[in-house]
Amino acid sequence: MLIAEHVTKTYRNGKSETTAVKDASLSLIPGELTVLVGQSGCGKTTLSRILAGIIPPTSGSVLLDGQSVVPPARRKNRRLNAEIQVVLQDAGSALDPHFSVYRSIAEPIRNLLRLSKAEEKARVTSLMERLRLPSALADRRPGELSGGQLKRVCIARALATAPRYLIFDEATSGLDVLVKESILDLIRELHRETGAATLMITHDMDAALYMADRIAVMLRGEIVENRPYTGDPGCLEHPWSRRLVEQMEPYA
Amino acid sequence: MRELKVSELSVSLKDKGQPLVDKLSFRLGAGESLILLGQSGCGKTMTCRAVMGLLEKSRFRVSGSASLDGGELLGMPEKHRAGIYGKKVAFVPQNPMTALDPSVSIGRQMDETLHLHTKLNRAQRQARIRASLLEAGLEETERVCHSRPNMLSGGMIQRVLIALALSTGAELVIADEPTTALDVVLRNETVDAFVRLRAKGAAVLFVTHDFAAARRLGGEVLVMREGTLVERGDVREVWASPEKEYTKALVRASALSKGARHADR
Repeated sequence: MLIAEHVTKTYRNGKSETTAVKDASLSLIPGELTVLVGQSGCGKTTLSRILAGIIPPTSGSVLLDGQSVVPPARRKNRRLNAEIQVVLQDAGSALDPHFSVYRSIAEPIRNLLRLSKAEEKARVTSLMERLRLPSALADRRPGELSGGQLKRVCIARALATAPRYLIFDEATSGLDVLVKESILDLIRELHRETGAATLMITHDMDAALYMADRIAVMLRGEIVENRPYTGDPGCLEHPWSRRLVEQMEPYA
Repeated sequence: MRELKVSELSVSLKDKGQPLVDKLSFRLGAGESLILLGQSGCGKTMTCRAVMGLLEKSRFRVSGSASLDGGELLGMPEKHRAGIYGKKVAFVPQNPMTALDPSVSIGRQMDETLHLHTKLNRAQRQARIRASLLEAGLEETERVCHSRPNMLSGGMIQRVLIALALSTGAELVIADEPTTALDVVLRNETVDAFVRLRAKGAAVLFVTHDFAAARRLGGEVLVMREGTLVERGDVREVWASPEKEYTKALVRASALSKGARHADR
């Protein structure tokens, strides 16, 4: 399990201080898809970066199977790097514009795993097939791909090291509704296949309710609600969660 | 403004035959809204750019007609366009950050625009700016006026641009995916600002791929795919009973959580 306990993150800029995350606790459990939902700027991306061991919390702990994931210890640990993977929000800038699709997906394999060239090629080819990326795209650069294709390359890259923990930061932001639906269905399908503990971060309440096994609602740096979700938005109790549900367009 | 009338509008790249917009016609009157809805690449943004005269003549071939109160907009000389756009016609882009100068406060930018397009004195301009911000749903008018664009959220900047359209008394507001990156609360606040704009008599041409945002705004919807019209009608009626499979897919994808996902598991 990947567990963040009582995590607080404060940014200092000269004399001013901003607390992005306040005393937040969240666990990622194998086989469970957790959605962390909240407005832009509520601290959800900061919390996900702390969980992934990219930035350290100001206080609190993050443990993977009892081992600290807090940098800088995490950075030198290849096993941890391979086990927790993040798909970043802006697919365009997450990829090196000079790298081909093949190289973008192969890069984490080269850096974190010791595979032969033939094994690497087999894994990249199989990932491209799974993500429905035609083999003709292997030599293309990011600038030659559509938004949906870029997102698929980022997901393939994150899956390359067969991680046990996957974090998607705004996986469908900027995509039109039909592409969004296909990416969400793909994430759900991959989650079922791999059983990886998955955290999806989004501002999109509709996507959150569509995907969640567990839903955590964040408001101004705090997790105000965290509960299993079985398809009835009526189970959400916090006034802010209720407001998010009420603001969704009536479906009738 | 009495009406924007677009007839048989077609747009294609000069070096390719395939039309990006194919014989599209619609009419939009004062106090009404019209929604162009479809996926990326369906021609909705291209339609707006053609109406605004923003397509380079060297790259695009534009035919048909787009008239504002009888005056033809297509092929209008640059000096005549300058008298219409920014004053009678306002544009709210998808990425509002790039529409404003990042180094200048919101208050000063709004003041400069009013100075350019109206004959108001400074005190009148300041009063108009604050009233417009309030009307666009921005209550902290002083904070907004003193902020630079990067100090405000995307949803607030969208509403600053709506306030700008309100302040200059724009009669036609063209909005390109103004709610795409916003959460449901900000999305609704932004759409509601367009509703207020419409209530003041402005015509709103609204581009989106999101049926939920379109439904909240109301008005006539034109569902587009690959440059052609798929279905049209009152947006709430089309949402409730779409006829075409493509429209049904868009309605479903705009309200995913309504589906039987959890029952399927």
